[in-house]
Amino acid sequence: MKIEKTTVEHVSKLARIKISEEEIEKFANQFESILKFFSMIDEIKETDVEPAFQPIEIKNSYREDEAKKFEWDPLSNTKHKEGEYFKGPRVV
Amino acid sequence: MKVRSVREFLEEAKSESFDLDGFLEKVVRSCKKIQEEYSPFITIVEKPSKSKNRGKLPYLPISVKDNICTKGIQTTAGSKILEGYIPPFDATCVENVLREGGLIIGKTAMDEFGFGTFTTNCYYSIPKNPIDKRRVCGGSSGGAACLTLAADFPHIAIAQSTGGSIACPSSFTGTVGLTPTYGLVSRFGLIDYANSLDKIGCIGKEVYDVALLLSIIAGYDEKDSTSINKEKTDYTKFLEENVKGLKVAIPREYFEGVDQEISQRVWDGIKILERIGIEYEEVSLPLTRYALPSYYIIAMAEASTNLAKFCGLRYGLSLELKGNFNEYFSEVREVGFGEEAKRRVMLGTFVRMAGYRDAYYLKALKVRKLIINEFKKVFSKFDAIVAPTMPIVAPRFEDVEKLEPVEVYMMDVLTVPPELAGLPNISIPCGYVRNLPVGMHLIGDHFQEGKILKIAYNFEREWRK
Amino acid sequence: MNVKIGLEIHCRIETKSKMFCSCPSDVEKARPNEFTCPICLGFPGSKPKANIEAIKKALMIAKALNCKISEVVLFSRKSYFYCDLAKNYQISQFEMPLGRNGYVELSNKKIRIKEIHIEEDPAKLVHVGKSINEAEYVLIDYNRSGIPLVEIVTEPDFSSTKEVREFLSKLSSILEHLGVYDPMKEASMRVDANVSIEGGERIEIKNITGFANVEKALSYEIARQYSLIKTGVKVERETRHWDEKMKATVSLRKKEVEEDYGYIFDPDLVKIETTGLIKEIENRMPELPDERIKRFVRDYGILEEQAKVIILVDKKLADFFEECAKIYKDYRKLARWVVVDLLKCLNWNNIRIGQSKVEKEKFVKLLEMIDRKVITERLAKEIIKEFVATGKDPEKIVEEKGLQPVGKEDIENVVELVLKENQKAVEDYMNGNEVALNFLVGVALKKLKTRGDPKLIKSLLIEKIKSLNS
Ligand SMILES: [Mg+2]
Ligand SMILES: [Zn+2]
Repeated sequence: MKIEKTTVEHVSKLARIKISEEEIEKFANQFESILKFFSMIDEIKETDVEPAFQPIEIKNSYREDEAKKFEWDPLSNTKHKEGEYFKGPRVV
Repeated sequence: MKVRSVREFLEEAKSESFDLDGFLEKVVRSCKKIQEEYSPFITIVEKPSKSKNRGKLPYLPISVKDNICTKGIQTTAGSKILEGYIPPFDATCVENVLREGGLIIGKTAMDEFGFGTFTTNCYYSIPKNPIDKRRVCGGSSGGAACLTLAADFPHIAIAQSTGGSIACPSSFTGTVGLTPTYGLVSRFGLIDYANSLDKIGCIGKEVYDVALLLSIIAGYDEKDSTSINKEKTDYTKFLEENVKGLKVAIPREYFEGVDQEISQRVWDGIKILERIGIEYEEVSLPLTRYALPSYYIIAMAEASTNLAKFCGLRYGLSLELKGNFNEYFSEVREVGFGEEAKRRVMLGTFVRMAGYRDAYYLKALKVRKLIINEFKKVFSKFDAIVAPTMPIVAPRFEDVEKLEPVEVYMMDVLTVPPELAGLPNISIPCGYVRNLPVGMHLIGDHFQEGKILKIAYNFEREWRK
Repeated sequence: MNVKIGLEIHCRIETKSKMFCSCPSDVEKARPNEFTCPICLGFPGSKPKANIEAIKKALMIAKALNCKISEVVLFSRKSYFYCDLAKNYQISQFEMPLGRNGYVELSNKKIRIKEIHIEEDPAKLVHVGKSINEAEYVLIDYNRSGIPLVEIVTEPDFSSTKEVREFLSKLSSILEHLGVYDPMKEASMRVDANVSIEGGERIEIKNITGFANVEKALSYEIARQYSLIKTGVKVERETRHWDEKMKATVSLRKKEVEEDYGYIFDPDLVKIETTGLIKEIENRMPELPDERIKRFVRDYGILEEQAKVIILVDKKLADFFEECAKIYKDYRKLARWVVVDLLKCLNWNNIRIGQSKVEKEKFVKLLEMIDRKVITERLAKEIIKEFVATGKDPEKIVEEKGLQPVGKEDIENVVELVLKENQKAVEDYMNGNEVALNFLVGVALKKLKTRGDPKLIKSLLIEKIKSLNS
């Protein structure tokens, strides 16, 4: 499969990672060989099998509905704050 | 000067006359010296907190890979995007070590978020192999292996593996690296690379060390939904057990494309196993070649969602709030992530995109199932699988630089299959090629840590003779 | 032209703690970001663990909406970037939603439920500046982040806003009866609506809070699309939002990045089997609105229309009715007073019974006062206005307003006075004019401030006039 530069650009937008024109070119080439390598699994025709979400089957792990307040300062790791709020970039 | 073994040290530390302050001072001084020489640390803890009770690890220096959260101590996972991040809680494995009296002496270097095979993708420090400083330590737990080898004080490292990140550096440094069954050690507090593959394990100078530390960190944790509800086990109890009559499988596929001399050393190791009464038989695991693509698809898909949270708002790196959120996030992530992280996040985003998701992501999960089944068949007849850990010995930095990304991924060809299946494995030194250590890989069935540990322990004893 | 409407409804599930962490979920009480922890804030290293009670309650909803229930509950990560998402993905369900293929029966049609799934609520954003489009930055309160939600997706089966209203009211009542939902909490129900008119594309209206707004937004949108079609303009596919201030749907700016949610199974969570849980919830399933309506008709002998109003408007109103019925046995009268006067006064005050100070004993007392003829129905209709507004004892209201019941003696005095002051009318009556008697009754009632039984007054008048004669 040929990986176009526009594909790389689209993915970089989806992933919210700004990349330079040079990087787009480089990644397009690399992605092509990596995705070719990934496509090896197409050789396996047997698909009538449950996907393995984890390597071992683990199930029914949950917690009971008990509330406990976590004591901390949620803002201690950021400078983007105002009063008791986190501060974020505008939407539009 | 002969370095005291962990076992000897723990006897000493029990005594009332043990000079803790003097010992600590020496350890910190030593860490700083080692850091200058080989750079295994991202953070050295100058004043480790001392637990009041001397449990099973009294005053034993423990290093922690930097993707494992330590309350009050910077934790970066090797990434610039987490620079200055101070976790508000301890990982469960760290809690366990502290409870047993261990000392957290530092946070070890790693490939950013675990993305690498050589620990050369680290924003902070790149460890050099103490055997030959021109060579890498392997990765991604390179700092842990480096420190384990270089430490002139008793020490065990808490490391972590997703696709071979414990086995690989252990093999390159001639140390012992144990990766437990998926879910045996709680992942709570581990900064995720690929949650369905990540395992916390240990690196030590000898088999006893990793068995000891595993006994402390393994066990059910209600904070991790994927933690296995199993009784606490003392894994050192298995070590002295007899290994006569055990059967190991030697998979043909694991010797294909491996350096001839490395194969030879591993076969030497297999002969030693035979000498101590273990039978072997060659087998074939034809699905082996599909493990690597399947692993990388799953790992990158999961990683790309895990790394979405790093956007410069709540913790870690932040820039001046400019533009809208798309612009701001894209810029923070451009500045904060290294090249390999960008590559994996983007590829991981690609393989789960509408239109590609079924062919890559879902298919890979199915292939994983088939590979697990293939392993399970082997373990119905054999107690363990024996293979080379890595197809090469520790390469030079300059040679690593020349590799294309896909060539780097290929280096994990031997460690990935058992890791994809969540199988416990241990890498132990079994000889040298051009004065560089070679690792032999013992792979066990799920939860058979005891079995591979006792094989490794008996092997180690025989090999050292 | 046919209108087609489909709904996606997000409802908050009532639990003590959040969906994947132990933070309390009664966040209304909290200061900004107070009820948060490393898990609901997505701090590195934290891991989610599913709240089984939220799952059970979601299963109850699926069952109540006649869905086919999935054998396992699996969670997925829905990836998109936004400031209100702590992890930039939302834990939701994708491949295997908890429930599928259900329905809700309306008075003359069935609305099919496509699916029901569980997900976590994002945080609350405050846009600092004039509007979303002009804000400089946002303030983020993550208290709501991680609160359990169910998302209920209907097929596009509605053909009018009236049906939507009926559906939402019934849904709300079902959820209340299940005890899984509190309509009083802020943004406890949020609706996305798809609207299309024959010949036009589908328009999505996002994030409408509250029933009344859903109706307004839909009415507006239908009218807007009609007028476009009439003038020959093609309705293009787009996403709009309901602007409460402008009372209009407004086009949202086109997204810079067209999101591709890239769902993967959340590898931090494991599958939860429902077989065991279903047995448990079957035992927990309460009486639902449809059955309750039937029972009200059967056991209380009230009209079906009345039962529907009482039960579908507000579950607490139905509970109130039943509480009253325990101590007041004229059920039809009770129903009439609940449906007409009580409800009217509650609406007037813009509150629900749960928020009002109305107590069952006092309400029943009011009805009994009518029965005992202490007050007339007409007077009661006045008194209930103040009663609903203040919750005051009706007797006290009577006392304060000087509406105390009048004794027989008072009435006799008034009657005598009336006779004295209206000699002409008395004479007319004695001469056989029956109308004159009614006049006298009216005068007496007026003097008594509508208190006193007209029949009694009448008989007293006759008695007195007779004694005058003898
Ligand atoms: Mg949703
Ligand atoms: Zn929380």
